[in-house]
Amino acid sequence: MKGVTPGVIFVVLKSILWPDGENVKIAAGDPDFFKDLNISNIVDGIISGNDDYNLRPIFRTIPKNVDTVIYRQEIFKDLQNPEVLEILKNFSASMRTVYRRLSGIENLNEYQKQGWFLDASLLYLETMEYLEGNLKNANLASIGLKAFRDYIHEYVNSPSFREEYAEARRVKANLSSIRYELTIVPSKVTVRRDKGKENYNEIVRQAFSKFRENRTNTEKLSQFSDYSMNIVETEVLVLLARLFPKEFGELRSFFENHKNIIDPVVALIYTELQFYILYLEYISPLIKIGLEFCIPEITSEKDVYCFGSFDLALAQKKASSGSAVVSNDFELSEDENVIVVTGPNNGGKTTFSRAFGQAFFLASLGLPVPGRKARLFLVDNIYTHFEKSEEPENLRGKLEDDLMRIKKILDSATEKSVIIINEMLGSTSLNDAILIGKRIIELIRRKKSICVYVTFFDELAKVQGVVSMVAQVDLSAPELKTFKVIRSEPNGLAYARAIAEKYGLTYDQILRRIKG
Amino acid sequence: MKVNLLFMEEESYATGDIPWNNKDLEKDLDLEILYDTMAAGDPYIRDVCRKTILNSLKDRETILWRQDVLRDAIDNQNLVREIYTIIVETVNQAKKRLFWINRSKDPQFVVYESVNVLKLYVKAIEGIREKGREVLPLIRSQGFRQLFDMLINEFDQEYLGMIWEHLMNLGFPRGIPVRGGLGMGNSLTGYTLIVPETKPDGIIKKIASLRDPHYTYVIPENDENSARALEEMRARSLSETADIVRESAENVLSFISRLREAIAFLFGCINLWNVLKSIGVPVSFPVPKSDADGGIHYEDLYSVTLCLRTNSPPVGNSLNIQNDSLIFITGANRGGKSTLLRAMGQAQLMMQAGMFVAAKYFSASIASGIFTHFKREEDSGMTMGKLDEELKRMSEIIEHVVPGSRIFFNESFSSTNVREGSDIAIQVINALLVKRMKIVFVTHFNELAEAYIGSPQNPTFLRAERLEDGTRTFKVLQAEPIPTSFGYDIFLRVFGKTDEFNELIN
Repeated sequence: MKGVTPGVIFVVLKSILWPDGENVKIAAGDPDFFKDLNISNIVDGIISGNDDYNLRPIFRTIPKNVDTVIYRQEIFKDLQNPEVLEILKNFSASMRTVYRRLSGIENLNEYQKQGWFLDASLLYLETMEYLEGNLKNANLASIGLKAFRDYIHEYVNSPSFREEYAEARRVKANLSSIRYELTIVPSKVTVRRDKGKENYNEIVRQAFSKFRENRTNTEKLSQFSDYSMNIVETEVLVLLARLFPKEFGELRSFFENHKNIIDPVVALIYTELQFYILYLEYISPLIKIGLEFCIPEITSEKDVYCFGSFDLALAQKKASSGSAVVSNDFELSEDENVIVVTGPNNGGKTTFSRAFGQAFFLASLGLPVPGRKARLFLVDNIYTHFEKSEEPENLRGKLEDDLMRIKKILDSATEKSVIIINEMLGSTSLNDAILIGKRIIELIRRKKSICVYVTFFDELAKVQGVVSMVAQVDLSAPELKTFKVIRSEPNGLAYARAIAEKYGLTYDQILRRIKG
Repeated sequence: MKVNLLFMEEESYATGDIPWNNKDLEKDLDLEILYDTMAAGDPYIRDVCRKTILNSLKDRETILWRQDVLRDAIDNQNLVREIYTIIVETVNQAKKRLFWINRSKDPQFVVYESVNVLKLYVKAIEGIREKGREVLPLIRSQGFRQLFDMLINEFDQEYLGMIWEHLMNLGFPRGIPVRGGLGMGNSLTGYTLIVPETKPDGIIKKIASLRDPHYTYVIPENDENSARALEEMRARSLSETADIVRESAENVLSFISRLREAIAFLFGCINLWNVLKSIGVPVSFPVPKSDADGGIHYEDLYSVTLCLRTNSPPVGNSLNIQNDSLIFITGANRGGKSTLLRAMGQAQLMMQAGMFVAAKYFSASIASGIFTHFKREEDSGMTMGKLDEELKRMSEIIEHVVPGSRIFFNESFSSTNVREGSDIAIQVINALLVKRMKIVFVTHFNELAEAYIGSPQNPTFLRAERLEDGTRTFKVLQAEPIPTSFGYDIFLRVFGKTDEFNELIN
């Protein structure tokens, strides 16, 4: 094998996601909380169209080691420099094209395979040279990216790299100058060198034009996609190789001498880099409209806060429709662990609970979190219980199901866990629901897990020791919600009727709306 | 050519449209397993049954017409199976050809294959006609009679002749020359037709041409793929020639498609009938009533989908009341409230699809619309809270509902607290009753149901039975609501085992 021998490179670089020491056990499926917290939407949004990188497992895996979180945070700090980000984005875009060109070529005929290999190689080599030049002057501070820069520098300046590059350019130029003529008859195709005859498509179309009149649904020809080849064309290519032996001979020789052209470390770093780039691309439209993100301080204590927090998935949706995103603050001191959120329906309670869970999740992955300033800890797990609609398959009672799930959560949660509970107990009577809710909150208080409990029962916010937070409304127009959730006593105000009116569902409105 | 099996007049045939609330109906009434059972693995039957069930009939005559056809179908199951087999085989073969017709850009091919498809369908129609002749003496329904009479008289060979003529007239034997270069991955690019040789070359040109270096690729004999590849290349210049023949073939095809649709529904009903019979549950043809004040009467009514899921006879419920405008169902959790609600909704839908129902006896007035409003989980669309989401769905129902509709509510407006939820519910219920709707309302808000005790709306109260020892019988009987839902005892049962918990409550 020509190309770079691994032995000549002295820079040690293994991963820009997992520094030495972190024993990685990649999670197999989406954690249970992904759906409830809309993290599935976030991850889908980040990786959509980028399945090749197989990043989902990275998003599923919460590191065990704080060093890993810090290592990633440092890289994010480097990427806050737009020039650095741009360099790595360009690198990624080109690498992506390289791989697209290489994908599936083993199944192609040899001249196609060699052709695609040449085009992929050319782009790869160009990309490396370009990357080296760009990184040389980039301002980097993180351990991970600095190691990457050193690695690329040594690689691109090796003699074998220079030779490969010159050869690839020469071979391509000669192939591009070829022109030929094909004659297709029902059972065979003949190829010769081109002699410059006139275009015949228009003439044929004209000859059959009367058949097209007065017809709808005439299907249009599917255009040949530029690079696709059918099996006859593939055979024709073989004949062309005989017709132009010099050009194709050079191609074969390039292919055979440079089979493993992509350096394995470059390939790995390229993939890992997408974790950073895709996340930043995902949040960049939000930053443009003025939303703030920060790299949180990672604490080992239990006093945590996040100012200006918001639901990232919801913000994405709102940003695309142009509506405003409401942010909220939360703060817990050392001896506080349960927040009970009450307030009007559609007042932002659920959204608050999701933003809360997301903040811990994102911070634990080493990602910037929504908010202007944050102090959070590395969680061991996140548990959610959001009310599900009645499943007819399940012949057991819904209430019993809810309670079994809560019990399972309480059995597994630790002091380093986050629990989000959202409006359960809707399926039982008022008195039962309040009584049961109180019991559950008392149990969580004892567990010392961090918990947000969303409910429409004000009584639960009065349980001793819990932090009460209330979704606010504009009192002058009760049907307008501010979506602000702040620390205060539960207020017991009722807004359902105002909402009913908004939907045209009062007695009088319904009578007017139904005809007949 | 008309196919009046599912409708008295084909003009009203409308299974193509699905009502706006289909997703709600399917989810709330658990219809997927019903479709699956009817389909017995045939996705086409499933699709037709789905559309037919969702498109409720509104007039008694058509319901009875379809019931008659369905009775014939059940009594002559082989007839339906054989007709369906003929159609399916034909359609499958035709589809393979249509696949190529619709993808082929070669006019000769389109014409040739269209004629072949036409032949297949003529053969199928002849086959069905023969089956019809055999069973005609046993047929009682007007629908089947009309069909078989028609088949004998109305089919002729006119289209075939026309297609054959086209076939004779069309031909493209000429080879095509193109010019190209090499693009990315050595692909043949810049691929454009150039002027072909039309006359024999002069002797000098011929010699020059022979000396000019050239190579020829000959397609191996019977190599379909290469032939298609070559055809694809030719099609670039020739494809704008013909779709006319295909269009004329399509007219004949539409008849067989409509027949296929009707037979598929009957086949689906037969499948369901046989499954229910094998489980051993009562099945009957319902008695639809045009009179809105006729009340509701059912005996041994059960949820057909629960029966299908458990593959065993569920608990049946019976009721015979004159006043069915407002029915409240209350009672213990897990007591069978939702199941009965679903059973009533399913029976109403199936009755208005002209089907049999899952009951020993079922009779109800024909609803001018069937709606469901069930409590849902938090929408993942995120723009709304739960109450908003519920109210929005309610508002959509108000937008579409017409007087005389039947609306099934399940724990509606319970995503807010009891007082607020009841307040909204009362407004909605009262207004709907004024507009002559029929309401069945499952709620654990006993406070809501209690508000109607002794009211002029004359409600019927049903309650899920719970015995002294806490056993649920899944019987839902006429009884007024009682003010507890037995929730805390379930809580104690689930949590009672932990030491930590015992310590807490002691």
